[in-house]
Amino acid sequence: MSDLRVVLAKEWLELRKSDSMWVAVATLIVFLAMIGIFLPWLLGPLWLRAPWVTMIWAWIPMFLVTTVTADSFAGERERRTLETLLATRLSDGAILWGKWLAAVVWVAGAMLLSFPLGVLSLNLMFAQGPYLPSIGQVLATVAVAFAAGGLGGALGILVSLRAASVRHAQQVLAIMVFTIAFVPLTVLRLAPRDWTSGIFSALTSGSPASTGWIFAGILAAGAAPILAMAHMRFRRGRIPLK
Amino acid sequence: MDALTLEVPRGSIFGFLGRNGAGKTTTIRLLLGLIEATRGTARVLGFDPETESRKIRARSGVLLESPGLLERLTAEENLDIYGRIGRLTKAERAARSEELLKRIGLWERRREPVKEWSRGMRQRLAIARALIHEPELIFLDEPTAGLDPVSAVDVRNDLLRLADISGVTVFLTTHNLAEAERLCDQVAIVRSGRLLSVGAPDEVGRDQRRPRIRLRGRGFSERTLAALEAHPDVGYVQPQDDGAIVTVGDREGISRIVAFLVRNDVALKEVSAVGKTLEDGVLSLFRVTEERSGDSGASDGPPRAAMGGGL
Repeated sequence: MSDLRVVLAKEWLELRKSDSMWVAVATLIVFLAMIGIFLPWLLGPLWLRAPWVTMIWAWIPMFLVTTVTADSFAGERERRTLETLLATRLSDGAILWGKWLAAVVWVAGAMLLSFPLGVLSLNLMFAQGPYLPSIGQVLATVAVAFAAGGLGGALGILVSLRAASVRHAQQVLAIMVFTIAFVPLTVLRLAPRDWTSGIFSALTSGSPASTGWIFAGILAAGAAPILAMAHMRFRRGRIPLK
Repeated sequence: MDALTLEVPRGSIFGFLGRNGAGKTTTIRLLLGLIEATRGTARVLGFDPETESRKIRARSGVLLESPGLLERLTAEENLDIYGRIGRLTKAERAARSEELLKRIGLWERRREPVKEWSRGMRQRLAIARALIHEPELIFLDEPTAGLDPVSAVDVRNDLLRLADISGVTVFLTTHNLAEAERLCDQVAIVRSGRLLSVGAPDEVGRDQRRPRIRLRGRGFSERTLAALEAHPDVGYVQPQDDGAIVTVGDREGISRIVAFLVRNDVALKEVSAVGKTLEDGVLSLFRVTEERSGDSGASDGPPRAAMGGGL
């Protein structure tokens, strides 16, 4: 665990000191304003009560986390720091999981700031309140954000392990994220009508908490095999150093 | 690497010399477990790189082909991160960083991002980073390559000072023979992945180093120099302003050469031995192996290596 903490500290320090940190902060502010101010204004109390609302915290972390993890190995390889890191006593697992966790916590944590901001906006903009989420909904939202971040992070790590450059990794990941976003829509379009209506009914009739947990479960189930694959592929003696 | 058999004494500075592509970096990667060997055995500090590479890495520091510094971070942060990786406490990290940065004269600049530094400064910081966790062994891969002469001297001085203080075993690869001669207690010469020679810098290639003498005086005409080159005891004549430097077959031949010159009306003022450098030895070794091209040039059997008296 202490090795994992060291890798986390290293990654976060590097993220904080990144040349593009101001771009990341600006992007975060835009997304926070969009989810925490604009959407509550647009949707009103539905922002908190609609069963599908937790999905908001899925797509954005998943997309953003890939931009961070694309740099994880490919970036270190480009900056020629990877071999020095691999020449330390850190285990393969600590390096891999530390990099993945650092990106997921960083992005999902930042995005979740929009949740209390949204609750505050809702209560300030609509006088009929108070509008407060249940503990279950809060936990389900956190789970969705981390599961989505985990899936995006796993894809990012897997691609970055062997990518020749950060740019290359980002291009591959952009295609993957778009595929993940459009495949469910295509499946819904092609599925029998009674299946589709069943899914829509589930998404509109349950509570935000229960829908959130189901969604988090699906995302986590998607992330697990990809992480396992990344874990199997990450062996010091086998990953390209240049 | 092929048929490489060598042992590095604990506490020594060991030079691993060879041209580009000789297999120096590959050897370091193999010994650290960063790449897998196809066959052969090695022991580093008593551990097998194939199965116990983590123990080796825990006890080693490295400066590989590139300084590998986290360039967005300051010098202090770089040392702190690698101190944490080396499991030093916060107080130990602070004390060790201060000690190392002061020794290499970079303490005053510890809060500057490393990306703003010159290559020489970064290289010196990378050596300090390699030593932050007080390793028993450090691997330095071409530490002065690409540096200007002044920075190279700084790096060499830092290296000697730091190695002397910490008593660490240093495994140094270089193709700078003068550097190896100055720094190393022992050197190994490799070519195309094969070991040509190993020993103290003044011993390497000794068999191939023929004595050289400097002859100074008057009367070294072109005709005399040509006759000298044809003399059976003379290997090679290098004309000088006031005489010549002559490679001789053996020491007994020197008196015959002097007698020959006197007979040819040369007024000799000085006959002195010319110091033999590591460069002479290595170049001779390379020449001999080139002459034997097609020969195996090294012992048969799988490669073996031992470091820090681990065998």
